[in-house]
Amino acid sequence: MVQGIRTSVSTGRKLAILLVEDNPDHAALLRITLQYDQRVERIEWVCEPRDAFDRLRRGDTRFDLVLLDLDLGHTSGFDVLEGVKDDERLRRTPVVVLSTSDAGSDRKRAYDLHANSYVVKPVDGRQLGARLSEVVSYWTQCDAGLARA
Amino acid sequence: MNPFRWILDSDAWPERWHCGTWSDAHGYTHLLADVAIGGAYFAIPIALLYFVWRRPDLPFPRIFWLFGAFILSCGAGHLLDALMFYQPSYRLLTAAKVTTALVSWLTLVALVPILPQALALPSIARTNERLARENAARKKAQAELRTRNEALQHKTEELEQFVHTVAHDLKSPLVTMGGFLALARHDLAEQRHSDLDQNLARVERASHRLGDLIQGLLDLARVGRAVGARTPVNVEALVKNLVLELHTRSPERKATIRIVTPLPSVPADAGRLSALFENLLVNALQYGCPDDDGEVTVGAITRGPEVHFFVSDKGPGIAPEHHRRVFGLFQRLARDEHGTGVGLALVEKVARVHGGRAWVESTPGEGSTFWVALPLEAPEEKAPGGADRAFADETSNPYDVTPWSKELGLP
Repeated sequence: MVQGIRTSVSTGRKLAILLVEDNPDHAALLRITLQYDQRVERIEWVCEPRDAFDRLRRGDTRFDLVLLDLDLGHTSGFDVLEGVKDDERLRRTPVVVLSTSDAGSDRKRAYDLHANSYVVKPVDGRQLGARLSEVVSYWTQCDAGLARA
Repeated sequence: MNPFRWILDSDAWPERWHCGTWSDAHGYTHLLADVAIGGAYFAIPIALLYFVWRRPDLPFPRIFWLFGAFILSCGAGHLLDALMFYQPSYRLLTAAKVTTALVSWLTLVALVPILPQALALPSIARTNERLARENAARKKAQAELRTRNEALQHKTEELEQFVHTVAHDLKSPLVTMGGFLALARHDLAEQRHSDLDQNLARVERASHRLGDLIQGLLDLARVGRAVGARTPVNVEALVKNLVLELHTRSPERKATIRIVTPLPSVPADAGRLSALFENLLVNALQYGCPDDDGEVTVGAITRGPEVHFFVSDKGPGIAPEHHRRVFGLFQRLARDEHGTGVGLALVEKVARVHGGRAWVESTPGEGSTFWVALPLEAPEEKAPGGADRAFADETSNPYDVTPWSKELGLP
C-alpha cells in the first residue's frame, strides 16, 4: 500500500516549528505543551509579525511548520498569512492557523489566504494537548510537506 | 283613415318651395344646411355611444344614452325640415318636434339631479396631481424602507461582529485557564511542583482579566442606553473632581494634568459624562505618560452648535492607521495587563448617545489628542411611539460599537 510505505518513510521526521503568538500566556502554554512531544525538534516563538518574517526570511534555520495566531494586536495574523503566502520562498511552508475564533468569516478568510489548516484553540486544556498532538502527527506522518521533495 | 297615412299626409300644405318666395340659392342653402345638421346629429350619437361602450368605467352612463337620443331626435327634425321642401308632411315634422321636446326635457330632468355629483367628480388634472403626489409619497416611503432595511441589516451585521469579537476575546483567557489547569494537573500527577506556582498565577491573572472584560462589557452596555433627561453638567468641576480622585487612587503617579479653564457646561447625563472623561484621563495617563514627567492637558473649544473637548498627552502617539481602531471594542495597541480595550469604545459610545462623536489626532512621537464633540443644546426629543422611534433612536442599542475588524473589510 502506497500510504503505508509513505507513513513508514515519514516516521521519525522531527518538526521545527515557528510559533507566531502575541499572547504570552498562550505562547507559554503552546510551547510547554509542544515540548512534551518527542516529534518536535524545536520550537521558536515570536510575538511580532515583523519578527516572524525576519525569522522565516533569514534562511539560516529550517522551519517545517508555522503555527499562527490570528489576533496579533495591532497587526492581524491575516497579514502574516498573506505575507507568507505571497512570498515565493516562504509560501511552501505549511501555515496552521490557531485561533480562539470559530467564526465562519475567519475560517473563510484564512483559507482564502491559503492557510494550510485552521485549528480552533479549545477551552478545555486536555483537548488543547490532544489537538496539538494531532497537528504534529499530521505534519510528521500524514503529510511530510516538502521535506522529501 | 289609416293613422300612418294620416301622419304622412301632405295634402293640406304646399311644398315649402312654394311658401313665400325662395331664391334657388337661399332655398338650397337652407335645405342643405338642414341635411348637413341632420347628418352630423345622426353621427354624433354613434360616436357618443361608441365612447360609452368602450369606457365602462364612465360615471352616469345612462345620461349619455339620453344625450344620444336627444341629439338623434334633433337630427331627425332637421332632416324632416329639409324634406318639407318636397313633401310637406307637417304632421310628421310636428311629431318629430314633439319627440325632441319630450326627449330634451327628459334629459334635462335626468341631468339636474346628477349635476352636484358630476361637479364633485375630480378633474383629470386634479386626479393626476393627486396620483403624482401619492406616487411620490409611496416612492419616498419605499426609499425610506430600503434605507431602514439597510440600516437594520447593518445593525445585524454589527451585532454579529460584536458577538464575534466578544466571544473571541472572552475565550482567550479561558484558553489560558483551561490550558494551565491541565498542565498543573499533569504536573501534580507526576509529582513535579516546580512550575506549579507560576502556572497557577497565570490562571489567576487570566481569571481576573476575564472578570475585567465582563465588567467592561457591562459598563459599555450601561452607557449605551438612550439618554433620557439631560441636565447641564459643569464639566470643569467634573474634571477637577476626577483628577483628585485619580490622584487618590494612585498617588505614586507623577504626571501633571493641566486644565485649560473655563470648561463649558453641556446638557448631558452626568454619570456617563463622568465615565467618558475618566476613561479619557486614564487612557492619557496610562498610555500617554510613559515617563514620570508626563503631561496631560484638558481643554475645550466651542465650534458652532458644539463644544469640542480635548485631552492631549505628550506620549508616543498613535500611527494614523490605528486612529479609528483605538475606539474599537477590545482593541489595544499595548499588551499591558491593565487595559481591557473597553475604555475608548466606551468614550465613543457615550459621545454617540449624546449626539456627539469622538476621534483622535496624533502623530507618532508627538503625543495624542483625543477629541469629543458634544452638542451645546440637547437634541429635540423624538415623537414617542411608532416604528419611527425604534429606528430613529440609534442610541438604544447597547451593542452598537464599531469593532475594528470592520475597517479591515472582514466579510
